[in-house]
Amino acid sequence: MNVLTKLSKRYTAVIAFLVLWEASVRFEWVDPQFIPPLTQVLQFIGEQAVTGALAHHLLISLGRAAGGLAIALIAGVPLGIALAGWPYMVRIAIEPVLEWLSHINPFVVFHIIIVFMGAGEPTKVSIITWACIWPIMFSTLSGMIHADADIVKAARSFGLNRLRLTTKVLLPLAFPSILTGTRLAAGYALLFLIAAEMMGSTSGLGFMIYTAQANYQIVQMFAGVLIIAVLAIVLDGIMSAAGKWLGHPAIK
Amino acid sequence: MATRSIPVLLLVCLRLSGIALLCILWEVLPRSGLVNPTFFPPLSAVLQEIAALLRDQHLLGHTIATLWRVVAGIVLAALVAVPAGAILGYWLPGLAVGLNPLFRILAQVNPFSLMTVFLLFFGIGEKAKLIIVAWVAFWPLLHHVIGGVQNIDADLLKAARSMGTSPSRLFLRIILPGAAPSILLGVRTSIILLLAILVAGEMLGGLAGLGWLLHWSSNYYSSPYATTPIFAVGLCISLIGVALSAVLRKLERDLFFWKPLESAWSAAPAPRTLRSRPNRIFAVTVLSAMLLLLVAGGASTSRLSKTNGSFSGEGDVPQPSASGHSGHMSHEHSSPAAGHSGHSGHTAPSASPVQSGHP
Repeated sequence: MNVLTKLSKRYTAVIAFLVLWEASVRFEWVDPQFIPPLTQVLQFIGEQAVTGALAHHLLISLGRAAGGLAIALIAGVPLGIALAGWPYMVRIAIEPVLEWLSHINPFVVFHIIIVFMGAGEPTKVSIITWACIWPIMFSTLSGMIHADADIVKAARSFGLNRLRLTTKVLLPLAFPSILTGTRLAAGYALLFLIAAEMMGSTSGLGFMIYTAQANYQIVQMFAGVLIIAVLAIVLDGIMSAAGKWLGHPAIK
Repeated sequence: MATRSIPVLLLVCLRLSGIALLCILWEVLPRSGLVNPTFFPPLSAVLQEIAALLRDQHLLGHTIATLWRVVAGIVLAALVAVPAGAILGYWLPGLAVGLNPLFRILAQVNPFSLMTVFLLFFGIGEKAKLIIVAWVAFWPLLHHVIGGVQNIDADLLKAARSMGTSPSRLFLRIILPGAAPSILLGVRTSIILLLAILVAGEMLGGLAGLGWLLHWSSNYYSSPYATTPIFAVGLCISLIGVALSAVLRKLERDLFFWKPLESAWSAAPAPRTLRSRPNRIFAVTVLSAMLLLLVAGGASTSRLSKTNGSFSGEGDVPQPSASGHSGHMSHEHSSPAAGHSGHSGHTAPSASPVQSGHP
């Protein structure tokens, strides 16, 4: 019970917003043709959940987002580490190049790949990877460089070699920064995934929303919006929990 | 990894050397055949394509359209987020804490999925696209405004209040300047995202802008390299992003001269010339350029949308060869049956791949 009161206190605003949504449509403050009542949307989600059509799209979207994010992590973190280890002069020379590359639009990458591979899975995953790799790489780099100098000096004076210094000292120190970058990237992943699925796909939440828009099924559209928002919040919650669990307790 | 002070000239040369090397590689690798030039055309071909697009496809107009939408969208978001953030951050801090979970959920509402609703509320045209950019820009801005307001020196605020400053004056004289660095940082960190979102929005339904041109160019083959137009438009989009970032960074350096420079690239704050007052010349220039853009750019954009809405077969597009370019779905929402295949060959857009708005 205690947990419940705590939760309801914390989410008062969210609950109030949902109630307001329902009321404003029911009392026709807003045209119900524009915005369907919340209960109808939830009912639709419930029906779809029973038939399993929704789960199929949801799982496909999740797989793509997770795949893209995972590749971005596997590539981005080592890249950031490598950059941080390079001499200052080299970093100065490389910074504008990376800055420029990070401004290259994921959809441009998408178009180039599409010419050669068609609009298949790798193409959609590549968009997400491209969008996610920059925040992850820059946050890794920044975390490594801004690591507490005294701790690094102490570790050096104990005679740690470069590899152990990186794995045992620098990475744990950079972890909070990397986590922040990853959480940001996860938000990007979902955003770009939906756009990519709307542009050329036959499955996934973006496709579901796209067909809903084309056929003007407004309830289905809002169901998609609601699911994506909840999904994003859940993913973010999982990540922050994982961060607390993985991170070094001494480092805030 | 300590920062040594490096002579300015050497610093500039170093900065340019990376870009220069990249350009040389971009030219040499495809020419030598080490990289497939069909996939990755040499820089000179891309630049020629840009010249051709400037000549034949109103590239400048599309660039202005995209730039205008980004700037107008951010300004729109700021007009709402700054007052709201100031009120929540300073006058109603309890409410700000209570609303935080709701804001976090609303920030995750996908603007593309609401496109139809925006179209219903705002009609077909510029408004819906502006709202998309503004929607994406609004949440990080609000977050930064509230954070910025709450980090203002409490003594300043107390002193101002004890002198009986009116709320409006307090807002203009203390809260706004105090939160400004944070606000600008919010804009700068989200600019890449905003541009990307806008380009996607233009691809999904628009009559002008670089996103639209990108969509068009992906169905258009110029000899000898298939992807040259895509690279050309992509380069323009990235340059807009780089330029906007550079302008914002210079504004930060000029206006908030008392702030130590933080860089992800060096641990120690970079040495900077000591100033005693903000350099406002550049800021005023930027502001006037922005106003000019908002007025003239809006007019030019709507004009371009009209021409594209009615244009047919401008620059006759050659039929794509059967080399397996799986085109995009044509966005003819009028016939959903025409399918969301995404894999079917594209009907040659000789009648222009104009995407109608949603029915």
